[in-house]
Amino acid sequence: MNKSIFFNRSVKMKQQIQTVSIGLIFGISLMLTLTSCETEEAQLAFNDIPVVESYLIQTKPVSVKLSRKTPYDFNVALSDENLDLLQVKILYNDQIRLIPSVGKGEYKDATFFPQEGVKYKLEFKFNNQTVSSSTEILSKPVNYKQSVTTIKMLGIDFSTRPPTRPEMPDPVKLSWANNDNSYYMVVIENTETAPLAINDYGDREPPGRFFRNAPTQTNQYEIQAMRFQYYGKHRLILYHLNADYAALYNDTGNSSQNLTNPATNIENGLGIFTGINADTLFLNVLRP
Amino acid sequence: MTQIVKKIAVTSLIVLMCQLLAFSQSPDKITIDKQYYGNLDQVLDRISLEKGILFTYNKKKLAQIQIDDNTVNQPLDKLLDKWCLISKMEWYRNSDGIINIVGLNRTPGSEAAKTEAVKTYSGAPKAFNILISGKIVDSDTGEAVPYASVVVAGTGRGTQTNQDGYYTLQNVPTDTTTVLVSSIGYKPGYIFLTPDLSKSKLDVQIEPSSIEMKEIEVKAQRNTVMKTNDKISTIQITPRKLAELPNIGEKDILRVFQLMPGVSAANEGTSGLFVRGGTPDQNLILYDGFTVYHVDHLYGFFSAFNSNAVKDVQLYKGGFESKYAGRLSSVTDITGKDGNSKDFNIGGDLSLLSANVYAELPVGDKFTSLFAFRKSYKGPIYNKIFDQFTADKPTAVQQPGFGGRGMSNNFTSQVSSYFYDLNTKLTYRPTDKDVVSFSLFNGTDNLDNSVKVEVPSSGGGFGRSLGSDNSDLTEYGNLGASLKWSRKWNEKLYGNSLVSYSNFYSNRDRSSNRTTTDADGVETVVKIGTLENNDLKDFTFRSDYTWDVSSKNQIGFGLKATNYDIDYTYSQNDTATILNITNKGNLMGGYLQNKFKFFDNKLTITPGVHTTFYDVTNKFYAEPRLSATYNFNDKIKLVGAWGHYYQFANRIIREDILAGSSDFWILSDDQKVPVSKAIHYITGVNYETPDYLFSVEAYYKQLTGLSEYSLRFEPARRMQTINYEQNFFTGKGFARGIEFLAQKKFGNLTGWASYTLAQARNQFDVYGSDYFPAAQDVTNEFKAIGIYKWRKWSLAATWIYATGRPYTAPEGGYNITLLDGTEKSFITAGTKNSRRLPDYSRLDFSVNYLLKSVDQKTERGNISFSLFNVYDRKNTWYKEYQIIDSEIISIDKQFLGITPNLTVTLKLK
Repeated sequence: MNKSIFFNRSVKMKQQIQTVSIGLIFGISLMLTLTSCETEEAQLAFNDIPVVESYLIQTKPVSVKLSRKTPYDFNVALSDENLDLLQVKILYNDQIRLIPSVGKGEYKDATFFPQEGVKYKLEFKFNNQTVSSSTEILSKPVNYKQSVTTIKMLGIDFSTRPPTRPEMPDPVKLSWANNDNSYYMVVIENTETAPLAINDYGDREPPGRFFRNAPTQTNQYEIQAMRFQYYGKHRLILYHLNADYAALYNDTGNSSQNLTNPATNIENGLGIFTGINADTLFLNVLRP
Repeated sequence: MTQIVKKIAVTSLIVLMCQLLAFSQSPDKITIDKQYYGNLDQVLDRISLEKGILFTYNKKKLAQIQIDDNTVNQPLDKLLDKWCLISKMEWYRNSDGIINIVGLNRTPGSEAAKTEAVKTYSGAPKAFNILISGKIVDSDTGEAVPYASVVVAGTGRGTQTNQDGYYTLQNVPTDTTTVLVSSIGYKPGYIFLTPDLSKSKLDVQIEPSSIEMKEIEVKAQRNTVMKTNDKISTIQITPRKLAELPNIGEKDILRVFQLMPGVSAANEGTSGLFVRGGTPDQNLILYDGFTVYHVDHLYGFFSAFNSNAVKDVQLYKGGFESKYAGRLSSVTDITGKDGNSKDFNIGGDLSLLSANVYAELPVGDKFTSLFAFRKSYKGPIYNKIFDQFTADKPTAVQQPGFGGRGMSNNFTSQVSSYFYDLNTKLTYRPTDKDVVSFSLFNGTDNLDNSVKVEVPSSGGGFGRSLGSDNSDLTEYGNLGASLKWSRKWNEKLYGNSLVSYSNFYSNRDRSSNRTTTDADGVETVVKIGTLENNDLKDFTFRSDYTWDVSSKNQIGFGLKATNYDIDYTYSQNDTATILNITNKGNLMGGYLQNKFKFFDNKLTITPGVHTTFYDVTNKFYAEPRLSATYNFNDKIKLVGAWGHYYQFANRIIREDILAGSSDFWILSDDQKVPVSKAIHYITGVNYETPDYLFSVEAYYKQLTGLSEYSLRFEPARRMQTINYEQNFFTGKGFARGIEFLAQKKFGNLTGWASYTLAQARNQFDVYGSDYFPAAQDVTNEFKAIGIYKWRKWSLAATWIYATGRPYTAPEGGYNITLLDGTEKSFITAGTKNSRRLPDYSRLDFSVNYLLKSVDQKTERGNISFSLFNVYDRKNTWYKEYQIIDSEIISIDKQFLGITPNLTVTLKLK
């Protein structure tokens, strides 16, 4: 008796379940179909704004390099602007100077040298928008000193296992005055025309002739001897920087999880327009 | 047949003797005034007759024990102690006053009735409309069973046990009514009330359901891992059943929730829960009453909760009751295991990822304890996951180019990473009405991706040498503890109070130690790089009460106070502290809610309000809530909920895979960071039979005061000071969706299928006036879980399909030549979250074999083999961009491919 009741109920239930399941599957398929179009990729809007690269250095004529962003998507419509036909102006001390184009997006005035303490404003029209930026040449570094003018060192000895590094000279200590927490950066450059490498790089690409520290707000820097890659004369350039430049070293991310727009001081544009002052010392790296 | 006779005999004995019991006294108050000689069974019979005390014992065993010592003027309890010592027995007095003499270690934690299969009492009822109350306990371990349902059979009218296993059921029709007790992971059982049973201390033992499927049990046993439907938008799981599901190294409670409708599964990178378009920080996680602020182990692959130490987990997906507050989206309430109250037990798991051991030690019948410890080892799975998350990751500071032959000999990579967690719970039950418990949890991850570079100097002696340690060290974890006192004041009033402490710490050291030793042997150490440190402390006091006013009215009320103390520092080159945020704040609040039942208990309406005073903003925040269920009939139930929710503590995520993710908590201040608010609207319908469940729930969440954070170096012109600007972008959003669930709870094949159609949108002014898809937005999510049991085997498969998550694609890129002549690439971000990653899908599979004792009576553990991502689907985790030859190249970074795992679980009891 009980069994048959259970059986009947169970058959009925199975039918109910079948109906509900079919309904559910149908509903789900319908929804999947309806919503699948949402996953299609939409073309991103591309903001065609120029990229500026201009360092105003007291000892160098004014140069402004303009370029375009590389679009991520293909088939992006760019504006008709020609990067070599722009009216690039620099405004300073109530004067306006038009910088002539020298081609390939570069504007240069061989007679125009920026001055310390003067504020400069860059301005040009691009795509009906005024692109502008302001900067100032900071003071020349004061009291820039080095601990030694010559160091002697040998390269790594690869004939031993493991390879051994020979005795290293003391680090070269550089110091300068920094009373206002300014940003400074040291760039070390080998100036020889055909420098001799300190280490044997074998088949590998030899390292560049430059190396640097990150922009710092301290008043000293120690160059570890192991960082020198070539023998010969080195220029030790100390740059006194605006914070705008230091911001370029900020990590803006390069993955879909952390992508943020890079820092820039250009209105309606990207890149950098910044005044830089520098002082230079020299160092000889010799073979003992 | 014999058993039935025995049961009837025992019941009759109890019935007959009950009249005597009314006069029975405690054994320490009874003094024996006569000298008794003879066998112990005869002595007890005589004492029973003369003193009106009822004993139960094994006559055969006690007949062998001769009594010939002095019994005059001795208290009965001392005599019983002495006799039991000689006879190697134990005695205890149950709640009805009967003195039971049993074998060693056979004293139950509490005298609890066992559920029975057959009704044995057939007399007429003596009382009507009665109240029953008591505790539901596990028949194996004596542990209280939280959230078990106690229902008047055949009516659907009932109640649930609270976190300590206590229940009160009012308006039970008669004292011969049948009551059904059921809980997830247990066999349902009936209590046949008789006029003689104690109604105010009706403790009931329920038997854990067996993993093994015996033919005879198939029809009687529900085999579910999860349970929904009791409360609105709530899912309950029991960790005891987790071994049946596929796992990748660990039986993980939070990963199992990700298989449920409304909880997003397509994120292997965090075990935090994305509930109904919410983010993991909008999910409140309570572990024995204290808040856990960080739930990830090993880059989020596993949660910080050891399933061996967890008794029960409830997930409230929305519309949660007034008791809970402080989060916008959901609540995960975890109850730790008290430990076996009957026997010492030890057990553990060994998988390809970790070793896990636990011990349960009862002391007397009032004290239980549980200790669990888990630690990963660098086995194949750990290495695989670690490599997946750290591949292509540059070291903290780029080494100057040594280059050259054989240089690798000089680099010593010292990678040593691990996670561990420790759980302890001590429970003391001084009386039948009181439970005092102390719970401690500590879990830490130590991820070390450091590289040590040692450059030996030539010739030895006093030459100068130079070493460089590149540290890439992340240590994070939680330390939490709570001390809780629960008391059942009377049959209608239950309350608990707790003090808790929770500490989340995260230290990140991405730096390089440059050590130089000069010719005089003087070492100089310079630290270059970044150091990040976050330390959150939460001190909480809370008190919660439930008052069962009548069968149609239950009042819940409570108070809560939390003190936050959060420190975050970010420093560079071990000298300059760039950011130093100190957040302090106090939250004080209380709540009141009232559950009303109407129309013969068909309609339940629960209005409530939670009020909070937040001293940082100096404002009161009121959170009205309302939920309702209507039982259309015994199968169809309509549900609905509405509520306001505020959140004051926010987790800030700096998702930066290359620089290392780091997140920290800060408090809202209503200036930079607003107090965020959500309003939930939920409605649904359930169709449930004993064996199947179909449910549809729709939700809409309105969100305001959302924050997004970026820590950016903002150049301040001419000011020339470090200016790390914290940018807080604020906005609003909404989440809406509809969830379908079909569950088969019955038979050899069980499981469920769910589908969620959802939308999560945000609008932040900084990204424009349009709503954009939130990063956690998943449009379609389909999950199917099937478990098939055959004798000692169980096979399980889970399949997940989800729409790809949104991401921000680059708009363009450019290069700038820096002053040192090098070129640096910059990528500009496109429209926020306008693209989607490819759809996610994954199939996992597992086989589980039950191990039994030699006599085949006790379950001793199991061996399980799991296969994660069976068809080796290359699911995209994120995209990486590089500018190469004036073209932006996108590289897909993927989640784990096919990964096998083997786990052996053993236990003594």
